[in-house]
Amino acid sequence: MKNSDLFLPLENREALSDENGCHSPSFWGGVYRRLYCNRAAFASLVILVLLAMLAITGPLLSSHTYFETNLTQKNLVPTRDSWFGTDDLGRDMFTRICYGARISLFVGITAASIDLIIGVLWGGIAAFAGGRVDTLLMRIADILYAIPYLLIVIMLMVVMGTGLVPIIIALTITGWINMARIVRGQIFQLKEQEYILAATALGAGRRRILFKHLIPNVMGPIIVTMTLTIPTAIFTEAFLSFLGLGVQAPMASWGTMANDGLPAMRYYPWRLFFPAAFISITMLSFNLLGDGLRDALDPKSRK
Amino acid sequence: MSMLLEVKDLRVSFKTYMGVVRALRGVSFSVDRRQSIAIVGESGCGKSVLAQSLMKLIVTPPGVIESGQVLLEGDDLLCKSNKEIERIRGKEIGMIFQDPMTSLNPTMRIGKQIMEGLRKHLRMSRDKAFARAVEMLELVGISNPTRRALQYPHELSGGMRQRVIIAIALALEPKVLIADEPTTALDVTIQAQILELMKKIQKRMDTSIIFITHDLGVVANLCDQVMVMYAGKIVEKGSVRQIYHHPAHPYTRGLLKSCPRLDMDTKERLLPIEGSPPNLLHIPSGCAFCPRCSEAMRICANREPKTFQVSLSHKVDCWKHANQETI
Repeated sequence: MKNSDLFLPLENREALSDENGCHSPSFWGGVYRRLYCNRAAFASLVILVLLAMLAITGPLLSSHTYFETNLTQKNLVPTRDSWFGTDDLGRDMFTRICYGARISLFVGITAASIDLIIGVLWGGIAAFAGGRVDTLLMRIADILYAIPYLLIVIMLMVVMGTGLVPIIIALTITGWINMARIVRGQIFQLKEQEYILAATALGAGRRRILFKHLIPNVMGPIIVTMTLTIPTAIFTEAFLSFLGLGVQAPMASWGTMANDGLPAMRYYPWRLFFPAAFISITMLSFNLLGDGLRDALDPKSRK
Repeated sequence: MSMLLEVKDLRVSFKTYMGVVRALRGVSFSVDRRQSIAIVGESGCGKSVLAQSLMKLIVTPPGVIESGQVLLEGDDLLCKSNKEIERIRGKEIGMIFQDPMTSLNPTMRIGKQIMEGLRKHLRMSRDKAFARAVEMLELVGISNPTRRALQYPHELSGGMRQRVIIAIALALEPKVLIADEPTTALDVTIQAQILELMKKIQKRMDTSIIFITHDLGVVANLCDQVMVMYAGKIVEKGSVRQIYHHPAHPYTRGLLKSCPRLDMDTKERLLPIEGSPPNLLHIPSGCAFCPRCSEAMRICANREPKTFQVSLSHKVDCWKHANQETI
């Protein structure tokens, strides 16, 4: 292009206008970007994804099964054949850890999802209806919360026996209360907002306002609470299994494995180390991710 | 033929632990088709309560609608059930809110928010409602409406959000539009644009507008009728010309004196109305404006003024006009 050509009239002006060109980032795009900037939270997310992949595909990587015993090869140090060593019955620790991850993640996510559904509905209805309904619902929650938690769990185990289902029931029977309280508090704040009045003025019904207008706006705190409920559930499951109230042999849970490894701590430390390390890493990751999500979802920190 | 909207002796109170706040103390007025009326008054005089009671949006408790009627084409809205009133809200009476920053749902796309009413009231299909939403956005002067419809409220400026709010209210072509201080939160240039837009749309859609504001300047070029409200009552009612050129109530005169005018001498000072509005918990037994009124007479302290007719369409609640005919 010659220099004099630069001063000719502009032809395709349309292409320059930002109306056509730039795409504004969506809400979730922004959340992802802010999460990505938070190194610890993003690393936690990666670790959790790896852990989930391990839980799904891990057992395929090793030639052992989680229940196969081999008394000639017990308490082996980690080797190329059994990566995390073997336990006192000669079972492959790596395979058992992978199965433990399945159980832990399954329990954690299931319990947190049930908490989510009950808690959001309970808290949402309490706050939205207000008045007497609110008092009634929240007092029921308070009463449930006041009963010592371990007592409920042990009683449930006595009645229902041990296993995964009683554990999940035990976790959710009081677990949803936290969620309900958070959702209730948030909705109490939000229902005074003008857009709720605006929606009412447009003729929206009560159910529509609750589900379409209020709950989507509480999504941030809900997600954060959920990421913080999952590690609690995982830890509680491990803790109950450690006490012998959880899943039973030959099923593997990180808690039972830690319990098995405890007496042998002095001589075969890897038998305690691996399950304990997995419990710690998983809980740390979920907690860091929850923290990161809290910042990423906070509308005030939007840059 | 009867008036489109008639409000008769509307009384609304709020029961608080301090006592009963009497927010509306017998408000009556009517709006005809294609008419636009303004309700002006200072903060806390009951303007917004009035707007909300017209659609039965008052939260009960603590609010109580004590008496009165709101007749829409002869049909009393206040004795309708929740289900029935839901069908009227938005469809027959639309509302534009004061603050564009808070009256849009931040988690819902613009287009979806316009579509909500269309889908509920007119049972439109998703595609048709979306097309209508885009059409409405175009009508209120938003460029590139198809793209804007897919954006969230935080991606729009205040003026654009107010246009969206107007689009939401107008999409259903309501018979009456209540605009509760629609320009208060906007800067002056945008204010002018929004007012221009409302004027244009009113002509096009044949709606009646009830304009609630504390800005007398806004009223002047938009409305036919003006009502001045004070302490939960309408104290003066008349055409724009009557109110601006021959204000009959001392309060209206005070309001006009406290407004800057272009033809004013630059050294001239604005005259505020001394004192503050009465506590609606303890309303004086006489005229509510009496404690602040420079022209108060003995009767004002003891007896509530009746409504007097200054001229055919000009009415005032003030004892100074006691020689005129009462209604």
